[in-house]
Amino acid sequence: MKASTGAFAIWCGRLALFAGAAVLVAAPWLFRVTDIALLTEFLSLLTIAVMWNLVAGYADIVSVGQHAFVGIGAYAFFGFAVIARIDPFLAIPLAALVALLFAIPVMAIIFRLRAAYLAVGSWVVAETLMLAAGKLSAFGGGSGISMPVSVVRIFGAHPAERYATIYWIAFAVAALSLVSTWLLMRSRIGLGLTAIRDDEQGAGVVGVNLSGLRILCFLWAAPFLGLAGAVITLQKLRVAPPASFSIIDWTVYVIFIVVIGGIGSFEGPIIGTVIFFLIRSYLSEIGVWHFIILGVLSIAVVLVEPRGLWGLVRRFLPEDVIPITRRPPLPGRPTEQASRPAESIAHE
Amino acid sequence: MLELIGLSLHFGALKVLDGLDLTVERGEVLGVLGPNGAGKTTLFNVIVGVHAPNAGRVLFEGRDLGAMRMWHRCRVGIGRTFQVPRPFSDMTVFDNVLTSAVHGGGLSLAEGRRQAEEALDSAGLTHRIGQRAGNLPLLDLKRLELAKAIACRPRLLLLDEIAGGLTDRECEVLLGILRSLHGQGMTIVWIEHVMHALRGVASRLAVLHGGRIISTGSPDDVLADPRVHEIYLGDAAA
Repeated sequence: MKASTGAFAIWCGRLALFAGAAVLVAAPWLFRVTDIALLTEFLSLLTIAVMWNLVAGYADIVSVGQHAFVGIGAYAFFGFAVIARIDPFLAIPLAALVALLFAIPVMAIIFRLRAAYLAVGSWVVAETLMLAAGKLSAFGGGSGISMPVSVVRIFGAHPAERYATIYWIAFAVAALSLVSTWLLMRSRIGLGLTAIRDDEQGAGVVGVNLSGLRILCFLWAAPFLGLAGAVITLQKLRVAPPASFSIIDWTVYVIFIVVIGGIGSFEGPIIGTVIFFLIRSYLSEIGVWHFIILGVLSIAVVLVEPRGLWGLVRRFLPEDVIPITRRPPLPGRPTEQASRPAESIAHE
Repeated sequence: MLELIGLSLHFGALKVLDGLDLTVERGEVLGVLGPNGAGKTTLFNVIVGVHAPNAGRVLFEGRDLGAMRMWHRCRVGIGRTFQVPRPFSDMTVFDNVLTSAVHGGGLSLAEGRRQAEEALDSAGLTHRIGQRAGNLPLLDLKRLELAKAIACRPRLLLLDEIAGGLTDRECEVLLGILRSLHGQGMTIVWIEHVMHALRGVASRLAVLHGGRIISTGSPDDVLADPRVHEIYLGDAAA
């Protein structure tokens, strides 16, 4: 692709991104209540996907237990808002704080493990927490409990008003997760994380504190997952162990989203979430086949380009649509496309 | 500056380092020779903390590195290059070196930018500054390895076969860069098979065989050592 065509494609991508953001800002005035509910779910899943991408895609912590923090956030929010009768709007950040506090002991356990063992360990911790949640009688035990009408009404007297309020909360959470994580990636920490993504040992040798950045990423993700859990509880209006700690909804789908969109890139989770919702919206009527299509699609994408759809597109573009890289200070702006692996050239 | 005392490392039944002792003086350029499998790269891996030795100690400026992590060893002043270049492939050349400067060199982003520019200039890589590192040709990948290592502001630089695969002209360019770094007071330990390159800058040679140093001294003395001829250069050369 010519440099001018590449630059044009980049600006088209940025324009599409701004258009998407503008639609999301105007959504409560543009769409029906059912669409707003769908967009709320979209924003919650996007938040979770951005966090899994940070943790697994950059820090190489391949956790399959992040639904634990979504569930903790959900239960903490319910506990503060319904049982402790704290202002529900205040209960949302408090849920994030509880998720963060839980992340410390969870991290102490699973960080003793690496690779596949860490993945299994994180899953076991999440399932254990789900079973423990089922023993909490104040939260309805194993069958869960609905939010009382008095609390629900605080978010809006009428369903349309309530859906709009919850949507704005989901929007704020997603925007906060995206912007703050982008700023993180633009900092010296992001440089270190990108280096870890490309070559862990190489990063360590040039002074990147591998364990320190892993801890930071894990603790960074936990409160956002807790916030997503609070939003999901508001939307479902109940907590229940299998739903609040759902491995399918908050981990398996999220892995699909990030893998298909592009793991280890900022654009990947956004693209993956859009594709996931398109597939789900248009193919859910064919029942179980839509899950099979999801699986086949993710395998196909990984076989063609391990960095997902964004990795495929990125081969032809001179830079990212959402740049986390720094402009070089001297003449010599990117002139070469990211199209061939280093190894093939290194041995020429 | 660097003292290796009784270093031993084995992978299962395979002894890679076997009670190795070596001292590197401040400001010297030490060339390390040895046949393939002698344990040269493993020695570097132990010094920078990729492998923990089964026995022995690594002292740097009198400080026992012990269980010190890889990243911390870089921050106390040990930089290295890899035999097979390991760029951060999807990052630009500039970001590769900036990462070294801010993490290894402990600099802020603003200071790191200046340090990265200087390192790229020293390594002769400013013409590639905005390119994707994974797309560089071999000479530039080697230069990038060097730029990343010196951006960490090391006092001890470990070079692993950095001249391998280069043409004579490219090798001369590299030697010029190394002489300049040495002139700035940097201590260098250089593993190399390209003898004329090594002799161009090394003040002392050490020959590694079977996980031990079998000969050390001035380049002329070491290359005249019959043990080196027998083990490294072959009997016919004796």
